[in-house]
Amino acid sequence: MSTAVEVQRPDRWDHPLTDDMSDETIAWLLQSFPFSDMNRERFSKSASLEDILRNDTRLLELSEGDLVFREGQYGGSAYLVLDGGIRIVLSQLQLDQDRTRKRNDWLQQWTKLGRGLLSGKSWRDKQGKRKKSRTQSKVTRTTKAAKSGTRGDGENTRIFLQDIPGVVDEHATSEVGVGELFGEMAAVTRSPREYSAFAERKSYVLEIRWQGLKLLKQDPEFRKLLDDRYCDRILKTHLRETRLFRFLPDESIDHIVASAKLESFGNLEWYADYRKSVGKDARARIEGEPLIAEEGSYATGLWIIRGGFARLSRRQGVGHRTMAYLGKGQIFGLSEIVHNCWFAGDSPPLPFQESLRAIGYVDALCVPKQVVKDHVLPFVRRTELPPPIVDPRYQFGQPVVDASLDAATQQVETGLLEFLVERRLMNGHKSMVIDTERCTRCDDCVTACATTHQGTPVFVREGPQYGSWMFPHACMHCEDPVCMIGCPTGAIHRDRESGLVDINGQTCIGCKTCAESCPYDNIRMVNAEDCKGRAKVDTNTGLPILQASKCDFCASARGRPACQTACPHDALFRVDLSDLQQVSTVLGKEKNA
Amino acid sequence: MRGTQRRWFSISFTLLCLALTAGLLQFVRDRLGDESTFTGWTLLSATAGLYLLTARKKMIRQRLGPVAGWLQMHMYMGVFASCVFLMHIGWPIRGIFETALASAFVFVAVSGILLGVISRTTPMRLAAIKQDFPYERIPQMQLAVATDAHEVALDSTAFDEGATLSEYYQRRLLPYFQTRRGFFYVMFPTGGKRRALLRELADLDRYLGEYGVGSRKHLAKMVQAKDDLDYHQALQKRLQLMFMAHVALTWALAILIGVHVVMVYRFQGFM
Repeated sequence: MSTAVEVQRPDRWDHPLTDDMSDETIAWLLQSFPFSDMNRERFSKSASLEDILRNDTRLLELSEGDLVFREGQYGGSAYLVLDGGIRIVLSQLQLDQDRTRKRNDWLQQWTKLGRGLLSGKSWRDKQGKRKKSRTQSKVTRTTKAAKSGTRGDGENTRIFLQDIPGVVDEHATSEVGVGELFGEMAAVTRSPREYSAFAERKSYVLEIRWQGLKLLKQDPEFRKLLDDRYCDRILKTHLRETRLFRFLPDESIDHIVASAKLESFGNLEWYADYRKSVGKDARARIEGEPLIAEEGSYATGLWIIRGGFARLSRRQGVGHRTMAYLGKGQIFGLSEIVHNCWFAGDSPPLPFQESLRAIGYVDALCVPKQVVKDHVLPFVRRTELPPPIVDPRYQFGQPVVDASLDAATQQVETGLLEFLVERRLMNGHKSMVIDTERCTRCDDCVTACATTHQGTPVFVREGPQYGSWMFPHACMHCEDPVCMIGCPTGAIHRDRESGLVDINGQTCIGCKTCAESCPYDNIRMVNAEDCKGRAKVDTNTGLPILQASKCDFCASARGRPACQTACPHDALFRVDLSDLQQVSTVLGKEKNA
Repeated sequence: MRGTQRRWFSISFTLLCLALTAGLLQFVRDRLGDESTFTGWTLLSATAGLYLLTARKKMIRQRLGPVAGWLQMHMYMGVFASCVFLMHIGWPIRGIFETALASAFVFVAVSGILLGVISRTTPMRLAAIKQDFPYERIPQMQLAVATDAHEVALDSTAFDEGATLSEYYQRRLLPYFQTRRGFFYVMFPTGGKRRALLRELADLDRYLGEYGVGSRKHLAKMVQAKDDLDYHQALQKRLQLMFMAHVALTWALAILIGVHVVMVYRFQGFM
């Protein structure tokens, strides 16, 4: 009996975004803006502009009110308006459907209540969730839920808004006209959508998946279109969503947009540099990180992290001590600016008390001090502002005071922080953690994982260890999943709703790019198998066909992943390491009671 | 529910069940009812409940709550079953079969308690070693350490500093690196052997030259590494053995219980 089956080795465009892109449509697109202005010779023969349009795009016909995407969803596509008009909703759009769903969830909650007693659901989960909901409180304004409906079926189901004028009246919106792009930031930065978008009238929109967008960016005109769009619109949306700016009037926001400077630090594909730096001396590694703001230097502006992670550190002796890491939306330099503007009086202004360095890649926005003073601080509640700096480490003309090593003032002990940052584990959104002081090494977690994944476990119960905490090689469903950057087919993608990183076995061509990009070695290449469990081999070479394999968080089965439920000693759990509050609660000094 | 709250709830619930059973037993006794049948069926039900943990472990795909919760239930039900067992047996126990059955129950209960204790203490002892070693890879690592040590010992003879280290290696360290630890060590792992070897190795310094001291230090590291591996292996193996013993005794007990029930009903003339 044959144990292998011969198949043609999969190729990059074996599974186009749609099969419906006809020659006529492509010809029409090539004559439309912006493709008509592109220099076709800039594209390689193997990935010509026609090929990109045929394989990485699809035409969407939207009726009036049809939602393209909603705020908070994940997506790997940008959209180009070809005809009609799209409106983006900058404030949170609530649908009446959500409320109905919430009511139904109550029923499920009651049934869960009984199970809870038996479930042994650890306090860790609940603490983590509670803290998370507190820290993630977004800027929301109470608005009426918009009336909505659904049309179409199966994959073509679309949610549509019934009362467009009502939505426009109720929310801050902005129009996207013909020839304009939207939704590209979420696709490029692998982050959730920052706004909702719907068709204001019957519209034709071209969906361009991230892989195609990356190729189209080879054209300088197209790249410029993206950059202009960012400065024009996205920045405003982003500022509106920043908690500190939520009460700012439009004029102040305009001032900030005009004066703010967007800067990028480090390399977007930081995993290569990270691999090179592994094993280097910690001090040399920190000093090698791009400096965003240095302690002791003039506090000239407020830094807002737009993407990536930054290390907040202090000089200690001849080295640097990590105090915290800042993620998307977090602010640096506010204490110093507030102190200098309001509390300093006649005394000289204080410089930055800490340093901010890019860990890997950081997108940050710098708002000048004067703009903060004139246009931000007057609109922020006093209670939300930091207190004056009573005991500054840095004062111009004064000696530097070395801080005590006592970690009492820190949320998380320095050792753990350094460990998480050095290994870039703070990128993990659902990191698997094993408490080795509870784990009996029974391997029930591995067995459960294998059982739910056709006999092959998708994680390894080994990995870096800090004290009793082990961080096994299991996909962490990162905040910034760099594994997605190079995937030529988009097989590795984020789930639209949950944000979990998943691999589509149908479109994975086994190129190993994701496995090699994953800085944590959490993706493995395994032999691809057909539905009967036979290994696939290449018809031409006879070599096995590989496929990327990683933890999928048991997304197909609702509830917690199998490994976690199978652990008899509650030793295995998941933590959002990007949330310092959760790290402090779950892995902090106080261990499970 | 937090760990401590859950513990208090479980303890209270178990005590309540025991009080209820004792009350009902008294009620049956006062009415001159069949006490053995009452406690027997209660014990049988509780024992059957203990097997639910095994069933749950097999049903990985079903959403039946975390195994940790079922293990908690198993432990408290085990305590309940043990107490009902004391209510059920007549003292002194008569007959070979009844003695075997009672012994099997006691062995299962004791092995369960021991398993509970060592599954709490072993992880802490394992975690005390800086690195975690997967059980199935330990023999491979032991071999690598032994090979490394052998090479260090051989290299030490290349320098003109005498054969002290290689002689010591052959006499004391070779058996240590190349043999497995005995059953007693597996059951009660200690660091006595490592301490003795490290002390003996340190004592050799007075006979060694500069290179020899370096080799000696390397060998000392190897001794420590081998001991860590042995320690991990012993603790993990002990846990596995204890688990296997508990499971094996459990199934033996199930068979004996089945026979016991049949015999009881045959003696009563129901079968």
